[in-house]
Amino acid sequence: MIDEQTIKEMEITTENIKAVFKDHDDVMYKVAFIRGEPELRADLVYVDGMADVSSINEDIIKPLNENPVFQRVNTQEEAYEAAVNGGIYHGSMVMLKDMEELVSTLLFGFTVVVFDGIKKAIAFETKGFKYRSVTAAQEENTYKSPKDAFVENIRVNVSLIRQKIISRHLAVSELDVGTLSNTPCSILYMSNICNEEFVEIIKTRLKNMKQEDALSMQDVYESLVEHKYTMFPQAKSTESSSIVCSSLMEGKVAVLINGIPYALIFPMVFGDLFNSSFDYNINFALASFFRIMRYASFLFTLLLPGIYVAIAEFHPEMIPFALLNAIGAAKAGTPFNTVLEILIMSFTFYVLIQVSMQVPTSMGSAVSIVGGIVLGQAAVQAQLVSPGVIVVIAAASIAALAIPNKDANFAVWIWQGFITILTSVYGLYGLSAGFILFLYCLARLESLGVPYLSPYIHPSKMQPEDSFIRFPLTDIQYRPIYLKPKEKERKKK
Amino acid sequence: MKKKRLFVMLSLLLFLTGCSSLPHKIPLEDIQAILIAGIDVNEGMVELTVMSVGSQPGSGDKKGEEAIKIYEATGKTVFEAKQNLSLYNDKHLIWAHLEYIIIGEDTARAGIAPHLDFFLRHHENRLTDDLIVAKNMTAREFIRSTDTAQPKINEKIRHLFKDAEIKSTIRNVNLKTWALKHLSDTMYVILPVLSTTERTHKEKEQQEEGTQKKDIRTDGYAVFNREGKLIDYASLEYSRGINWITDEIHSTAVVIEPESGAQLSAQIIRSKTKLEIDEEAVSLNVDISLIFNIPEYTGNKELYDLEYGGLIKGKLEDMIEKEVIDTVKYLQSLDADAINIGNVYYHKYPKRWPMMKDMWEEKFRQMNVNVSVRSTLRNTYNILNPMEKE
Repeated sequence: MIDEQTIKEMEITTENIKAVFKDHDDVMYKVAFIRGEPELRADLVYVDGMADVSSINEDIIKPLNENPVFQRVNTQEEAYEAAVNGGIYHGSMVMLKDMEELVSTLLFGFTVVVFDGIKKAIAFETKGFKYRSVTAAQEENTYKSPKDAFVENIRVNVSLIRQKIISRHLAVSELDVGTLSNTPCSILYMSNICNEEFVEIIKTRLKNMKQEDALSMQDVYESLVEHKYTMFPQAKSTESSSIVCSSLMEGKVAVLINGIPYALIFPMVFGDLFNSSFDYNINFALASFFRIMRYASFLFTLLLPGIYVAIAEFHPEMIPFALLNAIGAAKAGTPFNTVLEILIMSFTFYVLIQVSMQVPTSMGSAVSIVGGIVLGQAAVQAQLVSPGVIVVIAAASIAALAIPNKDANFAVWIWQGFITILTSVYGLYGLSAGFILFLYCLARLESLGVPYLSPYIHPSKMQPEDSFIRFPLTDIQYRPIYLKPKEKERKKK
Repeated sequence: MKKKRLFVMLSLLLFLTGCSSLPHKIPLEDIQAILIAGIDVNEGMVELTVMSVGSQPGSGDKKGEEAIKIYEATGKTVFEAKQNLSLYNDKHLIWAHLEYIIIGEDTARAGIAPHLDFFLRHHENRLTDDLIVAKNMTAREFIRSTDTAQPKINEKIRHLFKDAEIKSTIRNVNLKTWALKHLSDTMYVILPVLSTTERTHKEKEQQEEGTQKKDIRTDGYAVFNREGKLIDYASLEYSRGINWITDEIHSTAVVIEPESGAQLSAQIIRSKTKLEIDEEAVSLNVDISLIFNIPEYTGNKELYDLEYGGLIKGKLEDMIEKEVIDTVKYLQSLDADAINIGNVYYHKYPKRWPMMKDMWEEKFRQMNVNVSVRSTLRNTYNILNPMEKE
């Protein structure tokens, strides 16, 4: 076991490389002799599978043997100079300073040419590993919008964005995250729009990230957000490059991580939970209507079971007689009280959601049959639960799905259960207390210093053009003010 | 620290609710909603009759049904009678959905105010409950004789009040309006009257069982005096007269005889009444402007003939004028200002009202009434010419 410090102090030789990688059978060594002379020896080292062998042959071995420059060299020193000065005609070349750098570049798919005699080495990029090609987005709505979704390769992902924003202002700063995994990570922003503070905060937090690896998005996400204990998302994750582009244009920052086909967009506010790319691809009136519906569904999900419990258990005077009678008639004869019915059905729904996420698609139909018929219809026929409760739970739970953000769906369901339980003890008073508590929990959140409830908490700064409703795109003149962009006004020619 | 403190405060909200115990649970399936309450007073005891509806469990695929129950209880006060209901009610009775309070005739004549105190005071009741006087019977008799499952009494009454616009002979009066008028110096109370009538159609089962269920009909207004005691029932004509003066006519029909042997129905579709009174309260001007259609005519004249049209309008206006004057005379004979002229006077001459207040009955009795009616014919519906040949 060689520690980091020892590696750093090692001399660059093939022997040392072999020592470092003694348990690594996929590290390949190849000897090349310039002009076939044993004194002019260069050792090629690469990782099998990461490096492209044909590229090694064409771009490194072939020039070493055939380039006339090497015909004139007599020592390894001269050969090294010749290689550095264009003898090996390769676009991407790194002159390695020490063993540590050698190790990381080698593992990243470079081929290292070691000159043992002078203890120097050059690395050439010969990355040749396989990655998934760009396909259509599967999890997000792409109605009338670009279909390309991110893949696992960060270079491809950045290029997808570069293709859409052809501007010198699109800044990409790169650093490695994960103390062990050294995963490449890119921070993208528009240098002429984005508030520098955001970029600084993200860079600092990424540098201070203590996670050993960055294999999942959550590793990075949890190191970047202020509030780890809230259920509401503080960064938007998306697989669509066009959403990233439009967010960058607003003045937000995107974080891309190698190996993860999603981008994290910071900062996120409450209103973003209800915005969908769909909104920007349909008529503004329709978009506004759907957006209002989403807010309504959100309140519906959060409060409906609570309101039902409050009415059915505490405040029968709140509803008109006809409705009271209809609910009462359906309820009469069932063994459990309304609260218990609601909790049982909510629990069942949570289980169904869980199951449907876990089971393979081949078993999905069985789940839906059991869920739909046995738990719903049969429970009513057997008079175990009243139909009113099933309607309420089904409507409230399904309404949550109208919120485009999946993390928010789950959060709303949990809060729904909490508010229902409070209501079952305190009646309408509990309902209001629960809702106030909910608002309190949202109001205390911040994402990169931006209050989570922006822009709704600042009536003076409220920008109605893209909030509850959306104006025609040509009328949206300003970028969101709460992001404090460098350029407040959108450039219109 | 600040956040923690806020969180603690919010949590305390839940536990320091100011209530000595957790809210009282009343599950829906355990309640009967009272929809109709009848009040009679017999030998100093309040007899309370309530019609309540609850839900009955269904079985298997069968849906739960409505369970209509009539409960009766007696007590020294309405509240005690209400408490006594709990001695034998099936389920917990709630008062929030009460729609109509029916008052028996004898009780109305003896004064209703003391018995409505509970309905205004107790938090379970609403001020939107309508008050009704049952003519020639006690409230208990009224509820018993008209109770049916389909439609329920409250539904029947609701529809009657809705359709009352067609004739404009009554208008519903709720607790709030009643209290306002009862407590005011300037207004007199009138309440709508319901009576029973033999069934106009008999359902098959009832014929077989021979039960004597009756139909409900509206029967104009009951006029109350200052003390809140019923003094007389106004006939349908006088009731409509009251509505003419108080501007409560939505639609009504007036039949006139433009020439001998021919009848013409004038359907009033819109009407506006303005009242004016002089400072000495000697004469009252009633100014009615209305729009009418002609849905039926049995004569043979050209309706759009200018001269004939003028004749129709003149007859209609005279007829309404007479109806209004008769109504005022009738009310003057009762010494009851049920058309609230006192209120009109008070709003016009608020400073003079204190002087006038004590002699208002006298003033009202001697008041002259001038009525002017202006009518406009809007249309004659689908046909222009009469069906009767010349």
